[in-house]
Formats: sequence, structure tokens, C-alpha cells
Amino acid sequence: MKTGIFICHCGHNIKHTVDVKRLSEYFKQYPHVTVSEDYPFVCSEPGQDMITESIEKHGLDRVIIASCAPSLHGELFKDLLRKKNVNPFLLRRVSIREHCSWVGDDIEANTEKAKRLILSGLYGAAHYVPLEEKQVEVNKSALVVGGGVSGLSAALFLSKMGMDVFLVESKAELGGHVRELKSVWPSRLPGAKIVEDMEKELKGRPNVEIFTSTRLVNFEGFFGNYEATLETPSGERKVTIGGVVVSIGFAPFDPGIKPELCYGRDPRIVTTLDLERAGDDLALPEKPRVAVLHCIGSRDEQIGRSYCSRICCINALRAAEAVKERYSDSYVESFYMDVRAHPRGGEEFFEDTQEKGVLFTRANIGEIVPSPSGVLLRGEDTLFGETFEREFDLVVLSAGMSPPETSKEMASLFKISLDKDRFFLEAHIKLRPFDTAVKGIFIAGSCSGPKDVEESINHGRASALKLYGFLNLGYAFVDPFISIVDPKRCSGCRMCEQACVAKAIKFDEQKRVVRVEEAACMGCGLCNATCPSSAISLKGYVDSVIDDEISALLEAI
Amino acid sequence: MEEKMEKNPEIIGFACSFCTFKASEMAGSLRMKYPEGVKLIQVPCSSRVDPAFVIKAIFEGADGVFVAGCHPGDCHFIKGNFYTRRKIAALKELFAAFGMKEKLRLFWVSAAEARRFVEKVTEFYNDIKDRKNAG
Repeated sequence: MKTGIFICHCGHNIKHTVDVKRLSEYFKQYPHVTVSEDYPFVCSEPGQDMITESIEKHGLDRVIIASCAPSLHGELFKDLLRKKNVNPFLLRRVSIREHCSWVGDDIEANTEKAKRLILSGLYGAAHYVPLEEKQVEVNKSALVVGGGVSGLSAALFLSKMGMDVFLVESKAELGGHVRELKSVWPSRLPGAKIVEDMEKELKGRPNVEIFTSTRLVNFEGFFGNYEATLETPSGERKVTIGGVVVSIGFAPFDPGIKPELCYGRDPRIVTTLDLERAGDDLALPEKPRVAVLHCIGSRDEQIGRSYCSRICCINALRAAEAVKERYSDSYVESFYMDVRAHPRGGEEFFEDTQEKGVLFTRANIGEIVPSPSGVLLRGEDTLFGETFEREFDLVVLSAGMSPPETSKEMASLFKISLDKDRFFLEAHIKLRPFDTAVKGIFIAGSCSGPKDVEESINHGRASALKLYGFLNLGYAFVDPFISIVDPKRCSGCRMCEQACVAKAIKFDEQKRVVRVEEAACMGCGLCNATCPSSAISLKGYVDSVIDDEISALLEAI
Repeated sequence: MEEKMEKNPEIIGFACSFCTFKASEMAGSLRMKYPEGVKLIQVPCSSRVDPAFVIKAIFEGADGVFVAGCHPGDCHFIKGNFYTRRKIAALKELFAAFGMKEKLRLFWVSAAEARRFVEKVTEFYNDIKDRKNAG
């Protein structure tokens, strides 16, 4: 066996708190370790060349890369091995950045920990065997769940790229929340026009099937061959698709959750959306006094919402501007924590609004008290540190975004994760912002955290593009980490058969042993841990790998 | 009196790929700190953890072992973690018979709960450390 160990400095990220030089020297003395090198960036081109050259020169049959977390650069390093005709499953990644250099500050302790981690990789990989990647055909079709702007743009993109698209919307019409907006900043186009244009284009395309008032009730299968069950008004319908874009949007924050705001108990207390809907119907005096409140349901620890909803500052500014434009003699005061005018041009818009005469007061509003003469605001001016009371004719609440009501249900259908606020969690916040942990399932729009219209459209397209990239190949490799039975050891007790959730284990009545149905096996390893005679093992995670990893981590080898 | 050297425990944790291991990656990315004595072994699902692994780790000198997976109902493999829960409960009985119940812990950490991961492992580490240094 010839093993190559490559230890990455990751610039200063690893080198800073791990003595990489000492480690690479240390591993040189190990038998079977042919090469042990450290390098500033193993993932860089020269770093990759170093690995491929070593494989060629020394004929390495095990490659251990100690660097960042295994979820990063996984395919990149596997490809290096493939290029040199080495089975990619003889590669072992050891995370000495996310699991070592970044979690401790002590160089000595970190170096010792990194040494043990690499050692466990070395001993674990010694038991690796070449595994065969199976190629499966991929359906060139996609399911888009949610027909808001992000879903519409994703569906449109996929359809234009020649994929069959099934678009599912739970409401009776497409367009989501954007349809309700009278004017979408900064283009000031009516929201309905934006979505109707997209809808029209989509409906004219032959490869798109739209299901409205439809619910997704079941979802199973694996990448390239998922099967979704839809509950349509005309009965149940099953569709087979290659991948999914989940774009189920958000739920507007209900200010009723905060009773001190008195929302819903007085017609003079409205949200920005109510204001848009009311339009000219608002009965206001000639010189109205209007208050606009920012951050309703955002950045509020008391109700467990610490995140910023990103859209509500612009909404608040738009509401203030709209009132000011209609009633030039109005008194408009905006109560904010911080003005975060996110999108491009937002800051300028904020300045314009100030110039138009909207007064901005940094304040925390404690309560809203409606009375026959007006609506009283009680709060604290946080710049002066003084409390105040002011009366207004109208109070506009700029409400934020809540996670979609069905996020939990959808997450368990697709087996994807939620973040702490119950929005969908991406696979990596910077490097894989559209992916989920499940292959072929992508997230788009506000269901993965608050976004404005422009961002949602872009997010939808980006997710669609990523999915298209996967599907267009027409085939996919499936992880070979599935269980395998040693019929000589199997006693036919059928304990694994009972345990298997995927029903992948079948009993052979004639031979009195079990066998694994490869296509159905999910690769959890439950059967491996259940078998009393060690007859069934999960490829890649066989007992001897884990056993030796334990020993190596404890230096008991 | 001579000051006693403080003994640092060795903790082995089995972390499922889809939740706890992801959370630990996130904890690292967020530069959250936890003791170096905590070392993880990645398993596809917490149900892959054979009780024999836990026993082996203890035999080979681990002061504590934890198994961590997705919250009940959130298992990527549908219900693997329910099997884990049963298995670890049974194993705990065995550990209790040898008076070392506290050396084994099972907890759930979702992929988003980096802070919870750090809190849970630090708490376990400190617990084991206190016991180790008390004797």
C-alpha cells in the first residue's frame, strides 16, 4: 500500500494554529506512507498538480487530504484521482480546519488533535476498497414547488433550456405575494404586471404543465428519478422528475402576535400592504399626521425573530413617500432602529425621502393606544434617551417576513434542513447557496431567508441553472455507499430485514440468506449495526474502518 | 502542597453526516470554540453506530462517548435515529451496571444548530473532566 498525505495550510487558516510542518515530517516515518507533504493551498492548481504528480511518480493507491471540511471541494479532489485512474473512493478527506484549527487557539493542542485526525484517516483509509460508481439515467424534467416570482423565473428558465417542467402552486392563481403589490420598487411596475408577463410566457410553452390549487402530498426516489404525488383539484397525479426547485416563499409577519401594537383592533393601524390595497379609499384629514414603524416582526428577540427581513425598510420608505406625495401638507414621521435600505439605489431613495420632508426618529415604540381623537404612540427616543408620546391619524406598520407556514412539512417531505428561524438551510452559505443537503433539490426565493423581488427572481434563475447543470448531463453517479451481504456469514435471522427502513433487504427462502436490493438501499448502515453475525456491511463505512478510526483517534494503535 | 496536574479527557463523538456533522462544520466556520479533546467520527446516520464501537472506544481509553444525530422525525433516512435511541438506551443500562452511565451520552443536533452542538459537547466535556479530576 502506498499512501500520500497532503496537508493544506489554507493560507493562514490552518497554519496559524496547527504546526503543519511538524505534522508532515511526523507522518513521513509511518510505514506505507510514501509521500507526506504540506502545501499553502492544496485546492489551487499547483496544489492539484502536486497531488497528480505524486500519484504518477509514486503510484499512490491511497490519498489523504487534510484540509477543509469534506463537504467542500469533494468532487474536485475525486476528479484528480479519476484523472490518474485511481478509484476516487480511495481518497480520504480529513477536516483539520472546521474541526481543528478554527475551533481551538492552542497550537500544541491543535497540532496534537490534527495529528490524531490525520492518523484516523490513515488507518481508516487502509481498509478502503475501490468502489464502483454506478451511473444512472436522469429524467430531464423538473418540479418547481411554489409559483411566486422565484418559482416562475425558475420554471421559465428550465423550460427554455428544454427541460419538462411541472409547476405546482397551492393557491388558485400564480404570482404569490408580488401580485398584490401596486408598485414594485425601484421599477415602480405593478406587481401584477411582473407576474402576469412571466405567467403568459410560461403558459405558452409546450413543455410546461401548471398545477394550481395543488398540494404536494408525497415525495420519494433518488436524484434523477424522483416521484412526486400531487393532489390536484381533478384528483391525484404522479409525476416523475429529475430534480426539484423549492420556492414556497414566505408568510407575511402577522403584527397581531404583538398585542401592544393593537393591529386589527383599529382601522387606523395598518400594514404597508393594507395601505397599498386601500389606495385612495383611505379616509384621512387634509393635513394628516402619519407614523411609519420599521422593524415590525424583525430583529425582535422578544418574539424570537432576530433576523432582519431586508424588505421592510424599503416598504416603509415607500409608504412614507406615498403619503407625502398624496398629501403634501402631511406630517410623516418614521420610527426606525436602523435604516437598512438594502438594494441598489436604496440609500439614495432614503435620502430622497428625507428631502421630501419625512422626519426620521430613532426610537423604540413601546405601545400604540387608539383613542377617538387619534392613535397615541408611546416610545423611547433612543438617541436622546427620552420617552415620548405623540398622536397620529394613521399608523403604518412595516411588517417583515415569517418563514412559510408549510416549511416544516416540506422539509420533512424532501428531507432537507431548516435553519433556526424555520427557513430552509442551504448546503453552504457561500459556496453552495442554492443547494440543499439532498442532491437534486434546490431552494429559491424567500423560503431560504428574506429576499426582495429582484433577489428572488435571481435566486430562482440561479437554482434553476444549477439544477439544469445536473440534469442536462443525462446521467448521474450514485454514491456507492450501500450495504452488501456476505452470504457465508449470514445466518438468515432476518433482523436486518425488519430494521431496514427502505425495505431494501430481501430474504431468499431457498438459500436462507438475505440480499440487498441495490437501487432501494439508502446507505444508512442501520443493518450493519444490527447484524449479530457481521454478515452485512455498509460499503465505505465497514466495521474495520470505524474500528481503526476509533483506535487511531485515541492513539491506541 | 504540590499542585495536581489537571487531566484532560478524551471524548469520541459519532456524528451523523446530515445533521450533527454539518452543525460541527458550521460551528468551525463560525469560529466557535470547544475543547480539543472532542473528536468526531463521521457516520452516514447515527443508526450506523454499532454499540460495539462505543464499547471499543471506552476500552481504548476514551473518557466519554457521545452519539449525535438528527432530531426525532428529521432523520434523512426516515427513522434511523429512532433505532439509535433504542440502542443507546439499552447500552446505557449496560453502562449503568458497570457504574459508568455518565460516560455515554446521546443528543440531537440539527444541521443549523452550530451553537447547540458547541454547548452540548462542551457541557459533556466539562462533566467528564470534573469527574476525572475529582477522584
